[in-house]
Amino acid sequence: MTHRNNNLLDRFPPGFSAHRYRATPEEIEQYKQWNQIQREIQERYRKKLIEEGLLPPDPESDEKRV
Amino acid sequence: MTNSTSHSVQHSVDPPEPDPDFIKWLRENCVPIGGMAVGALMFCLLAHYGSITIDWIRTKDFTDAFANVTQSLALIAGGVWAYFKFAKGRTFQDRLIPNVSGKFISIEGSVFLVVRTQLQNVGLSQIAFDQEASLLNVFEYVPSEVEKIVNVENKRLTSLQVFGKNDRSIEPSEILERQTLIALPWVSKIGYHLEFNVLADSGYRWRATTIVDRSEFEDNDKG
Repeated sequence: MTHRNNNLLDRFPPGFSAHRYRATPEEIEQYKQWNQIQREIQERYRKKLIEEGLLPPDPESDEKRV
Repeated sequence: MTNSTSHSVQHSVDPPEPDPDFIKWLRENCVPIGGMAVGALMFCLLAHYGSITIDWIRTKDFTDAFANVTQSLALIAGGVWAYFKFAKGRTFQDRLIPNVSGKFISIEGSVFLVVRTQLQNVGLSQIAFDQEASLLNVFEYVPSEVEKIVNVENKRLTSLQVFGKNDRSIEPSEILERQTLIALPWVSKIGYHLEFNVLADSGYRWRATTIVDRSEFEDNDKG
């Protein structure tokens, strides 16, 4: 197991903070769209696992579906 | 003989040496004597200037003007200090350190990518997240033959929500760490580019990136 990509917070000096910038409304909207698409993919995958019996059915989500 | 006579005459003319008893007395009583002399001097000054009438209106004007100038200078100094402390020093501004790292793991022929995201609030303000728009973007590098030095292009594979329902905000000095296990249907020939984006409710965005290269996967297989 290698740790070359582990950028630990200890590397940063005290008082350091990362650069920030104002996100544009288009950028925020696109990120929300990407998130929505991935959530749908995730939900389909979860349903498939439930159908296969690998996951127990979620009562709350079943009520929502009805 | 004559010389010796004149010498004896000169000695007789010299002033007598001070009495050591008087000097001793003066040394012992110099403090009360000095005090009395200062008191006498003060009495003389009071007696001399006691007859002068003071213009209290002019005195008040002068002291008021002095007070105004002093207050103005204090106000300016306070403003400059506050500017450097809060505006230039960014004391109460939203300040974060996002961090992301990833590694491959291979279990029974299936390949997974373990992604660790860290977020530290190094400011003095609580920061609320926009959970819907704070994402971990996973990009795959596209291999190609090149003739010139170019950046390797990548394509976005997916965007995953990092924060859960309960991760609404981060307190000052708090560290938020989450780990995600991503199943990979295939392993990229070069590697993956991970981009951790944090969007605050205030509209500011922070970003951290890392590369998880293919060699790590090979090292993992050997280990």
